[in-house]
Amino acid sequence: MIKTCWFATLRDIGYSTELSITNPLPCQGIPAQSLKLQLRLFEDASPVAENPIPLGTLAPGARINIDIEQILNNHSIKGDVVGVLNEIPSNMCSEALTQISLSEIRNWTSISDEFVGYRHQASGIKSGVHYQSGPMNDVRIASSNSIIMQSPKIVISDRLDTCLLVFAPSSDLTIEKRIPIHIAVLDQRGNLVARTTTEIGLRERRLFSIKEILARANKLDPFLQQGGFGTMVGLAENGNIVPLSITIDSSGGMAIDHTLPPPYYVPWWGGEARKVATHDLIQRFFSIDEHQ
Amino acid sequence: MSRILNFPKRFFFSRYVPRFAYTHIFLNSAKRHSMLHVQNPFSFFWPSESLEARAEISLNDANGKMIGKWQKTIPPFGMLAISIQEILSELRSTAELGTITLDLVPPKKYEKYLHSLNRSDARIASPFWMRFFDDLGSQAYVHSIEADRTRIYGVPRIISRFISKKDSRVTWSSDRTIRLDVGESATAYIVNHSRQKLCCTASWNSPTSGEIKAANFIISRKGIVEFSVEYPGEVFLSVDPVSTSNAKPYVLVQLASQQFALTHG
Repeated sequence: MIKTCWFATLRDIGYSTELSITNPLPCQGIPAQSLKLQLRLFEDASPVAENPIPLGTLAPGARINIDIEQILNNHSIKGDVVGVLNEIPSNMCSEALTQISLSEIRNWTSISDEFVGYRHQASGIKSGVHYQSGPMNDVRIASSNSIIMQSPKIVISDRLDTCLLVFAPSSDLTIEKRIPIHIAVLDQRGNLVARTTTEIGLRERRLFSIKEILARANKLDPFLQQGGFGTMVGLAENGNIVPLSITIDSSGGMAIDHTLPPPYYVPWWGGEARKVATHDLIQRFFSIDEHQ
Repeated sequence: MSRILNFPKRFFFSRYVPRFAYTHIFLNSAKRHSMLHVQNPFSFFWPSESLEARAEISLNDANGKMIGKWQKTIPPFGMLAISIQEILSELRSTAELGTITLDLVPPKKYEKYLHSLNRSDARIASPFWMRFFDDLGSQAYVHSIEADRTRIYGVPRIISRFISKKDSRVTWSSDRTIRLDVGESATAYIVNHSRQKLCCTASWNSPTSGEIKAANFIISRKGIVEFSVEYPGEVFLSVDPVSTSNAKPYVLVQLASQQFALTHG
């Protein structure tokens, strides 16, 4: 996989999905060439078809919006999926395996953002998020992975819930792994209010309602009384996940955005500092005798 | 020789930790509201210590004129969710559109920790989120897109000017194609993040029939302009040039119901 767009659908909460894709070539030293588009879908981590779904070719400078909901209906898929749109450069289409350096892959990843749009089926309200999906959960790229997610975007009220959508891409489709994920809810003062620990398999999706996490811990009312604002903390020690925060109004209005990984705050982040901080945070918020 | 050349660099980084503050837009009308959300990130990168963060906020109106400054301390692992209306009220401003810049200042202990790592790339960035919403149920979050390129914080102003990169102005086109139905509109908010005045041409384009609407703008530093289109069909936005290499505009899509969605471009 050279250039990809990983995404997860939100049918369980009433939204359809659409991808907006551009072929920006030529740019960043890459000459003009077409991109062959292929879609793979995974339901409960299993591929829904043996072969990828062909979606045609995107010429240099061309744009396409791909209606994922229609594709799911055409393939009689009822539930939610994790998907990956593979944008294959025309000069690499004929080879099953291609030798390419990590810096070249990074260059391909950064030539454009992909936009994953969501439309509320009942009200027609549209939302969405831009991001780039580089290679993840792939031992050819990195021998160890971890995630520290800090997202100060919890807004809870009578009308609003904030959810965490998590999925685990894998640029190596042959491997299987389960990634333990720790999720903590902190109040505005930084106090731990509630938490949960679970795990996710590669190419799976999970949607966590913060309202439900708080309610299970009998902390919903006190949290609302303090204003309903807080921080979601997500920690994973042995894998990459994509965490997207979603704040949903009862009318269907939806704020969705990705979180910002640590290098956005500390450019030198990595190595021992990353491992120690992740471990310390798990100890601080998820010590074994206090698990819920 | 290289040791001699590196001496000023080592001296600089042993004394200062440069900070990159980020700039967002705010909407503050009777119809649409904004709220700033930021956490104390220092706690997460050095969790064994109890570290407060001081949020120093400055606001400018759409013409780039300074409205005022405001600050608040964020406790360890804490967060700040503050309505822009509340800050503007304290500053006695009724600005309906403008920019907000947040510089998150760590305790000295954290700076010493960064110095102890002995890295020449030790610096601090403090991206944050703006939530945009209305009374009809619209909700939108936008993460920080571009830093305040008018200065670098945490160092003397003369050094800030010396180490700031020159503005890199590039032609930009959105990778997103927006499908508008009858009664819907798209509005771009173009921000000047750079030190210099920005003269640019913005256009809404159709992927099939080319330019639909274009306009020229002169935007003062930290200023902002709006540029809307109503066109039933597919559109995408271009700006030539944007103020810095990553100064993507914001795009608000308004439905016929008046509800809206807002993302970066």
